[in-house]
Amino acid sequence: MKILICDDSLMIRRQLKNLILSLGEHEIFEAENGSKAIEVYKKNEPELVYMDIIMPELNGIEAVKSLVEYDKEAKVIMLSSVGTKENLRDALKFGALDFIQKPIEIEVLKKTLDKFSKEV
Amino acid sequence: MFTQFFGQFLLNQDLITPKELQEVFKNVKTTRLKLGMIAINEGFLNANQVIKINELQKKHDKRFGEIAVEFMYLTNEELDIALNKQQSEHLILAQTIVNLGYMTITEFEKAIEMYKTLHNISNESFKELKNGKIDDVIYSMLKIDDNEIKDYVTLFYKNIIRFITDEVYISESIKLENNEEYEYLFEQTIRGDKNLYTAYTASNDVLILFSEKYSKEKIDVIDIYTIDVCKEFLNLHNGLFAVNMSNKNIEMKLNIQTHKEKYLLEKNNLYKIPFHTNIGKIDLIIG
Repeated sequence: MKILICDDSLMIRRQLKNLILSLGEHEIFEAENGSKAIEVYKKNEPELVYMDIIMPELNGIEAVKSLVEYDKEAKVIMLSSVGTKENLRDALKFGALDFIQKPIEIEVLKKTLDKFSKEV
Repeated sequence: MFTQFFGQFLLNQDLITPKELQEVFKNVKTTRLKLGMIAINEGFLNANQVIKINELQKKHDKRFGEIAVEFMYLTNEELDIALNKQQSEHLILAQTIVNLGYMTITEFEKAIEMYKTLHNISNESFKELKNGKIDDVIYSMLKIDDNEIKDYVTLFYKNIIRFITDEVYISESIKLENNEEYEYLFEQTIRGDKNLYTAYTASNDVLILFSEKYSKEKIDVIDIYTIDVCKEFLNLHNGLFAVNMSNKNIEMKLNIQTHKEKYLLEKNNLYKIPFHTNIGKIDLIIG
């Protein structure tokens, strides 16, 4: 599966990439903010996106809105430490399919990967 | 965890200094727990009886437990209970304190009673300390009249334990009276129903160890990656704090986390809370 990881933290991108690759064979793309994520998405058309919220330039909520406007079928999972009611509501309103609370737990990550791998 | 609670309590009560407690943490892993210490904690013996048994030990070439039973200070059942508790973490801490000469066994006896009374803990229930009890201990160190800030500091304490090290205690909050210059400062502002400035700093050596612990990777120098790790810790912590607040219907948003180098922080109604850990001191700054 082609997967895009969008997070401004190099550490998170590295850890998430390693975790995903430990769970199966996937092709990973990376972006460090919402604007880059849209660019990478348009170029590579990943089947799943893990999107942080607090990022410079374009935050994750705005990015998911743009991605879903561009591709109604875009599968975006928010992955953030800021799972407040407001962020959850906005993310789902703009088209995110799920929300994972950081710190990342491998079991939770595995569930989303399994679920969306089947759909793909 | 209990090492931290009891250590923190001793600090709160001015029974030990931060420097002494740091020394205790260094020695605690190699300390062998003595039966007399356990017997006091269990309420089987008082300090005078332990001293008497120790004196008897000098005259008779026998173990503490054998003498205690022979001279009817302890029953066999009590001795069995005491022997089973030799791995008790908070008692090992106390034993270390006595070994280092920071408290006498009598002072320890008083401290343990005070601890149990103040925190309403029975002899058997040290291991049942609830989160609320941690909050009480932390709250008592903060001379800050703001419940959200107190909650923030308590969560920071818990996150240091969760992600960095379980050997941590805090000393009293200090209101910044002067501008302070820091080599590295990691900061993030929180806005919404409550506005907060949050930051932390530490020496370069401590930041390297801190980022190693958090990332679980080998880190030798402060570079872009180390800075990223330190910033991400603050972002994670603040995110978890915002979630806690959101659950109390206090909505908050986080600005992007940043870092400053060789930075002069203005005093501007800020508090500094020192976190002493086995990897060194970390200063949390909030206001």
